[in-house]
Amino acid sequence: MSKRYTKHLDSLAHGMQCCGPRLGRRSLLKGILGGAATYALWPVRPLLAQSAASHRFVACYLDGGWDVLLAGDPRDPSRTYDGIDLGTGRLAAEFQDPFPVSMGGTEHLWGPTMRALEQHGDLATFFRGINMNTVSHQTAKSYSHTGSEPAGSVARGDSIGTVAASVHDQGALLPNAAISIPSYNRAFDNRFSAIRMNDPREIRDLIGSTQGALSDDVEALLHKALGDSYSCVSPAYSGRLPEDELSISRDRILKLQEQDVVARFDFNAETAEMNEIRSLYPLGGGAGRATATAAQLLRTDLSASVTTRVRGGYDTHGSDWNVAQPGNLVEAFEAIGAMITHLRDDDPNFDRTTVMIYSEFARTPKINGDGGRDHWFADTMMVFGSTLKSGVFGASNDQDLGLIAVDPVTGQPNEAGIRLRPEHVMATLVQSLGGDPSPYREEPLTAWIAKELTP
Amino acid sequence: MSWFKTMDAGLCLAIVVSLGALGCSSEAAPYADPRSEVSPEEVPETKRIRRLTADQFFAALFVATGQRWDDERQFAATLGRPDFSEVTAEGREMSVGFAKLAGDAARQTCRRAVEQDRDITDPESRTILKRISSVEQLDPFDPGASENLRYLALRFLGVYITDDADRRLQPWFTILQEGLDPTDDARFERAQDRWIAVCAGLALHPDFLTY
Repeated sequence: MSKRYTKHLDSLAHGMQCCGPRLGRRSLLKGILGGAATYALWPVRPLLAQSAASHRFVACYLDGGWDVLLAGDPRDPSRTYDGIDLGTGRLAAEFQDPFPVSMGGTEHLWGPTMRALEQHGDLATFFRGINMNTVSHQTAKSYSHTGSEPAGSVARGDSIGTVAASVHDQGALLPNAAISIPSYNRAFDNRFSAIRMNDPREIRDLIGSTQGALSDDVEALLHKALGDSYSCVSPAYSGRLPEDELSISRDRILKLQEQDVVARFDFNAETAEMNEIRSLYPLGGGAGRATATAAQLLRTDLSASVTTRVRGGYDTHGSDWNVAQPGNLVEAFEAIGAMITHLRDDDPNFDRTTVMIYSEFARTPKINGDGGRDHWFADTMMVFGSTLKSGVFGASNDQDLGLIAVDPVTGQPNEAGIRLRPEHVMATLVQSLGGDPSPYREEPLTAWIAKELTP
Repeated sequence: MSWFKTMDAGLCLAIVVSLGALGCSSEAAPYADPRSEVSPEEVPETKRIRRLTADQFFAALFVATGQRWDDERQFAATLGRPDFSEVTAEGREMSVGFAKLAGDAARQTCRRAVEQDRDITDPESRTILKRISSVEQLDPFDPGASENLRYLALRFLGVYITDDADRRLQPWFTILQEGLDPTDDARFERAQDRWIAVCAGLALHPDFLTY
């Protein structure tokens, strides 16, 4: 409790006497009737509990610009295309053929690297033909993380993970976490700023015991002294003060240490939970560690939102495109697939979980002189959850992977329609999660919102 | 406008008279402070609080304690150092992660600094225990303790304190002496830990970490 901050007691001691609820006969009757109604509705409690407050969110980022022809926007290799070289002959057999997946009652092709996600097709919504409006890595990264056009390469908006955390927070100790990825918070309270890890393994350092801790009694004195200390920089602030911000963090550290959940991130431990995690995730690589850590942050209720760089290695301009690109995609999708499977353990229909998968842009439809693919602006984003309708919204030009206009209701090609931008996708996703889509300055694609959570 | 001024003055007079009457009334209720304490988390954030960058923190800690934190390199990116390939902006946001790692760094460097000082006989060559009369057996009630605290406040926070009763010194006196009897030998038991805690507390003080 801060002694510096005070608020009027109008609604407390004095006010409660004058205007507060009194337990009269009428209110007693109302209470009994209300209780009876609640009891009668108990069987439908799960339906009533669709509040955003219990929702959890993961954003999975594939770093470097993925080849959507091998992933979210493939083409049938039995056909020929004016402006697309599928490079099929240079790909291993397992990466040559896309496969059909039923999404929202319609079959759509998924890239050959996405087998690990096939079992989760019932939850999938793809946005194809998104205009990233740049082929610069830095600019596109800031754009794709936030859904708001950056100023140069400097992000102007909030990371989607920050927005999701602000909507979903129920007092989690680390509401927003970012693994190996920058996170932006321009508009929200500092408690929604991400706790950042350069490597997923660092979570154990961040939530574990204090290194070099002093004896308990001296640590208690240190805690007390810091709580009582007066800051000379405070007069520069009118709201929450630096000493309070630090105090909040120290209190959270103590709570984290009291909860002692660090063992739930020790993936080498011989426990039933860790055995399950080892059997699910490809922990030999960074991708598996990243998604396993993300899942555990949610499953331990430490976080409501996690953004993770799943892996890099997609900037395949050279001749290794045919090996590195599909191999790295498979590794990422296997790690993400394991995470979705894991999260479906306690939420089979993703009623309270949303997973987003994205990369900053795509790769050229033609193969360059070095045998690789360069940067391309027509991107795809994927969402696995229940707040959006399952299916594919939007499209790239069938013949050359270019940008085309689509109907904002059906998502089908329509000359009079819209050109899909990241803002459309983020506004739609945020509205469905119960957040405010207005900062994106584009109308959400409301026809694709299956249910809107209440904040 | 003169009627307005007249009315304005009349209104003020009426308010003053009313307040005076209230204040003089024998039936006035006793004053109750219409305020309550609230949690810092309930206080809305206004100006975004910014902290030292990772490199500023490492450098400041080195200057203040004379010691480098072993894990600087490992956690630099986590503390917000940009790599200028993926990240181009310095991280300056307060977070649980920053507070945790800053705490680890402060404890390690302060422990080393105090332990090193105890091996140095010339007080002027010491970093943390410069005004302490005896470092062989540290005493929280050392005759030079208060002068040393003032010296540390200047060293870490840049504040020149002349009066031992200055409230800015009180938290550090608390760490050093609370719960101890100056005549009881038990005071020596955790004296080193207490000086380390004073050092760490100063390195974790908002005036050290923020601006």
